[in-house]
Amino acid sequence: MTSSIEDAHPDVDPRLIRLDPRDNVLCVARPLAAGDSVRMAGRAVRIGERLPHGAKLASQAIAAGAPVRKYGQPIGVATRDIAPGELVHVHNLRSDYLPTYLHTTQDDYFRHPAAPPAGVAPQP
Amino acid sequence: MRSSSPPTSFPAWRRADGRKGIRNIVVVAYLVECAHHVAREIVLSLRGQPVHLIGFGGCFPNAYADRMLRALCTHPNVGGALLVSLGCESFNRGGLAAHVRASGRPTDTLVIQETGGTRTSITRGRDWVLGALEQLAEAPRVPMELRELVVGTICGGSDATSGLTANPAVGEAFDRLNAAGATTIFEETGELIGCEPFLAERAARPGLRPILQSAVTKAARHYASLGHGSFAPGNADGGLTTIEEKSLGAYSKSGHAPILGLLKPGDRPTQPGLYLLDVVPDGDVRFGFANINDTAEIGELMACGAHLTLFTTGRGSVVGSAISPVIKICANPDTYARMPEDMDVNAGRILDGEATLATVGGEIVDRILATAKGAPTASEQLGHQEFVLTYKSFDPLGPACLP
Repeated sequence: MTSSIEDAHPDVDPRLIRLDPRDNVLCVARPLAAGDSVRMAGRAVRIGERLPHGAKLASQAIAAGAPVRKYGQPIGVATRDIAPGELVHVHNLRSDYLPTYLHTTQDDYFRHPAAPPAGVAPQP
Repeated sequence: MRSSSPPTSFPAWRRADGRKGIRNIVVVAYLVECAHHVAREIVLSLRGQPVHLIGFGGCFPNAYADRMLRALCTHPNVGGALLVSLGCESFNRGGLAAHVRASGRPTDTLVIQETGGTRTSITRGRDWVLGALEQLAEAPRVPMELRELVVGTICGGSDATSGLTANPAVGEAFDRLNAAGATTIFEETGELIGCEPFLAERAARPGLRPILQSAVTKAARHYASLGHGSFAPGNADGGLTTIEEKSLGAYSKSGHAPILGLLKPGDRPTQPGLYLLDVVPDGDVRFGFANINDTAEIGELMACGAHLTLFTTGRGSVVGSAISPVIKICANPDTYARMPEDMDVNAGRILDGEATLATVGGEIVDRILATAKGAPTASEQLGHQEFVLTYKSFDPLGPACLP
């Protein structure tokens, strides 16, 4: 756990950060727009959507069920196949410990109260 | 410290118990929600003066809340305490008053039911605080060194930039503080889930290793039984996906020093160095979430003696605190541009390539010194004095927890 932004990787676009050589995601240092092309692992990859500061994108193909690594450590498991350059977030990555709670978790409960999500008390 | 750094000594207030504070305030503490209004009116009537409101809302007894108020009313930044009781609540006001008195600080207890009700209590309380402020103005000033400071850290409103800029920059500042012989405390074991192995490796003694590990295991169990981690929807909106990811970023605030000991709220570090504060209650979940918000954790850092708190934020938290100044370190350059008045340090410059972790770490230490010398932080300037205290239960520290 000694990695930091200053460990710049020569093969990585300067708008991206590789925090640790074991990682399969890169972090956005300077926002990217849809259609931008970035260099990773020596080749150009086209970005499909706007990516703000700190967003994660896959630096290589990640198979469903495989660990996603950032800071050199697993931060959860891919819930579907992820292509290089694709945004990695709640739609394709889940925690190994606790489910990630979103505002929509609560909305879903009020639509389908049969299975209350964490933190929502059943209505009397 | 490098020669370019400013002098590391500053005048402090020396309390009768020998502790040194960087602020000289009177706290007004309500001992049940029913006394909150009276206490708040006293404080509001003295706006602009160093008078802060703290308190506990519960009517039923709680050893943790008792211990917290004892620690906070005798905090080194506190020169005197007015206790405001309704009269029929369970809080042991006599015990708290005796504790404050024994520390040599002026104190008084206002019992609303014995003081003629709301209006008379506000008038009497205000008069007492004015007298205490006069007394505090005479408090002796003595030189204090950087190494005598206790500095806490917390992250709040984290986003995907927090773990890239502000948190490791605080880690850098913590390394410098520890090298200078100061005392540093990091916390929120619920945000160390996934970091247990690294944490255990950093224990200063083999006997501390299993203690650090089990503090995090306890947090994972606590949050699992609540079905909700220390993770808000705003964290996900800001690009954080899982608790492991948030934890690894939060962990970097602790820097690289060996971990000397484990504290629980109200325990004070026994020698300079880095400590982990265990904020998750012991035993089964009894009173709900370990920390209902960031402010609850700042209160616990202060109860361990923190003179000031380094608060990193990506989304843009605005909170400050009663008692101890909060230094706000903004991780995200967009957030800084949107709300610069609420921030003390712009760590987002690291992403733009305009600064390094080392330079921002140095800026944080400079801000700490300026704050210790009396310069108000952004949240102090804006009048923030948040405080919250809830029910919790802890077992006492085991013998291997402290050096």
